[in-house]
Amino acid sequence: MTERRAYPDIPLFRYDYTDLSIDQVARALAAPALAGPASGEPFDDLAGTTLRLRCEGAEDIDFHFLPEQRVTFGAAETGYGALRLDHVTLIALLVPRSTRGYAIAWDRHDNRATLIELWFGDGPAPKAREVNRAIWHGHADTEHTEMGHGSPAAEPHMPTNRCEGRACLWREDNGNRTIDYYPSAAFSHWIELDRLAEGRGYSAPSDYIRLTEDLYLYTRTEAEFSGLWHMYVMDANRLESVGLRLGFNGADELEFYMFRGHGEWLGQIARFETFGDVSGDPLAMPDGPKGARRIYRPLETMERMTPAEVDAAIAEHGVQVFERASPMAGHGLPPSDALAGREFAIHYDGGLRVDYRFAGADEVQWRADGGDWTRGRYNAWQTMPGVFIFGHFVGGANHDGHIVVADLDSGKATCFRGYLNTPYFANEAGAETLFGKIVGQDIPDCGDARHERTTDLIGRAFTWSYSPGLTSMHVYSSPNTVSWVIFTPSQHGGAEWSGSGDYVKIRDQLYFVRWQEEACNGTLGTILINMRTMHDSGISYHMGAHGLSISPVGAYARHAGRFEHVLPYLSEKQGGYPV
Amino acid sequence: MTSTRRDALKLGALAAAPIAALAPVAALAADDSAARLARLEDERAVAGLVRMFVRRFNGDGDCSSFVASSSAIRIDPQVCHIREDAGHDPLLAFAADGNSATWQSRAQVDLQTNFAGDSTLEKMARFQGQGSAVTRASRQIDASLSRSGQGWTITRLTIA
Repeated sequence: MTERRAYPDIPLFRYDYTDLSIDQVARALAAPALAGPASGEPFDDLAGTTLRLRCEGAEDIDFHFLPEQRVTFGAAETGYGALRLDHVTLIALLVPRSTRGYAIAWDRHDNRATLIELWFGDGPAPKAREVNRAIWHGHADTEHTEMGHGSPAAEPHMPTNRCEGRACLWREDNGNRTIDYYPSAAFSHWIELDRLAEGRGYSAPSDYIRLTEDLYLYTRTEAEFSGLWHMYVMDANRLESVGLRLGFNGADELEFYMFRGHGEWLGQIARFETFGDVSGDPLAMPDGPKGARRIYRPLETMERMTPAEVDAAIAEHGVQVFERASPMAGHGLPPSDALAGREFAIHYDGGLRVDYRFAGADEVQWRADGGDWTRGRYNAWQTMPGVFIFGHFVGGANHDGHIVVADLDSGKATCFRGYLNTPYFANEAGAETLFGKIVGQDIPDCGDARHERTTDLIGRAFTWSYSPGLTSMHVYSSPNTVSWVIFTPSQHGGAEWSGSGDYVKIRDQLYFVRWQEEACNGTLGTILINMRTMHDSGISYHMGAHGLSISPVGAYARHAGRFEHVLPYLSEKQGGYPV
Repeated sequence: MTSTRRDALKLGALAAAPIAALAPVAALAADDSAARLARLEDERAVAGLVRMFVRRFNGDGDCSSFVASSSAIRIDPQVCHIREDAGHDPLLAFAADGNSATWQSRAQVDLQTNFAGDSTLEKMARFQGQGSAVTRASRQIDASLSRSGQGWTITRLTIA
């Protein structure tokens, strides 16, 4: 059992969140529901206001606001919170003696309203602690208006992709700072700068609702982690927000508070829908049960193997090293035979020394630390003249694979060592980064110089088109995180996930990047990015029930842009975690 | 697993039924105009046969009634739709005895790639309901045909 922490000091995908029962949830909600949410500033007083919410698809609800932050609806009376952002008021409340609640965004100019129904338990979320939400758009029929009365003539609030491609730093009035990337129309990626220490990014399903040209409503459900629900209404021009956080943190403490935030613009990247398409909610499930949408839950489809099962699968199926074409390399460069006939050694810092004899275009002999020679299969790609990425199976107790970038013109080499039998799932790849020098005929001695970790890519995003119909976008979101988004047929950003990453500069505009698909698919992905040709060559290291495979990766790139102001918030964060 | 057109071809009952009954050209060689008429009718029959093959391929996929044997067809299993390319005239050549012919034409074909692998992106694509992708490519149809007692039959057809 991991140590109980509200905000764990281990990656969230490693934290063992309690599987709270609905009774535990109900008990935790009982008192806060009656009191209403907490807040760092006084709430707006809506006493005397009646909001009759009329939203398409939802039951009509009449809220009568009373003095002292009380509200009645139906037969219930409870506390509420309300914060105003310009002409929109955000209202939050829980239904007493239930596990349900509401958030309401009410536009006081024209009475358009978005009603968000919230609940724990009863699905579609698989666990009681994960907040469900259903979103309805309509209007508030009320006597208290500033600009009119009754049903507005304008279109209701609606899902949108207008936020897609932006990123902001939000500083809440409780002191918490979060970098929120919005690279998808259905997911988002966030980095907690204060409550979590690593500067690691995580991805979660999100809603983006257009209230006005300036004002947008954003939500994320921290599915697969705590299940917390975080939302705010943001003013994209003034970079102000008001929001609500509801759910249970890592210590199973209820968080139910509203906040005001101040934003900083971090930049924006391209989006790829047809020009003029501003539609949203691309992963909706309109025929599903209330609150349903497509939520990527990678552990559901991940094989989880023990070390014994890994050994057995490798014994049965072997290790497939560049044995077949991969859809992840449909647009890849052809392998190079330029290493054939060459011999050199790589002396890694820390002592490991590997000698290589490249016997042919795909046959290599290698030995470690002066041991016996081993013959194996390799593939190499010369991504920039004089720079090769090659990979081969090493073996050993953890079934290592070496993926090496060798710059024969500078004498520097970097290896991403992939290995299995990590402490979590034996088939999940771990990785470490080894720096070294190349020793061989006609190869210059680089002395103590090495390739170095870099922050050059942080904040950048590239699309990678691997094969027809198979394109993703990488967002290099922090020094230790790579996030990836896949597109829907309409080229909306769709599902997004992320894992540990590391970034090494090989030459100007040439970068060696790895990411680990932890608690996801277990793959170690590596690519050598050539920003001059906008092409990459890479190698995937993956273990599954069908054995261990080392496969090519190759794709055409587009530079989606750069969140150019994000780095100052992340430059102190460490990169290159081994697992 | 998505079945392919080729699967359907394999599975269909191979009746090899002739398409059009025509008098042999050679038999009518003495009468030049009759021979030309017969040739025109042969051309029309062969073109119609290829067209019907394409139409059936795009429909239920069971083209067995147009071919001589199950091994007559060699089409990439990724091909899921064929469109005749009107920008290129087909080439049709008859053997001297008029009992066999070869056909060449260009086509735009849709190639379906199923994302059935275990890479993360393929899994994510399947999660989003995108289990496959379709791309369009220009290909050449090459066919050999023979005349049987009652009409023309495809003895070999490739799309490459």
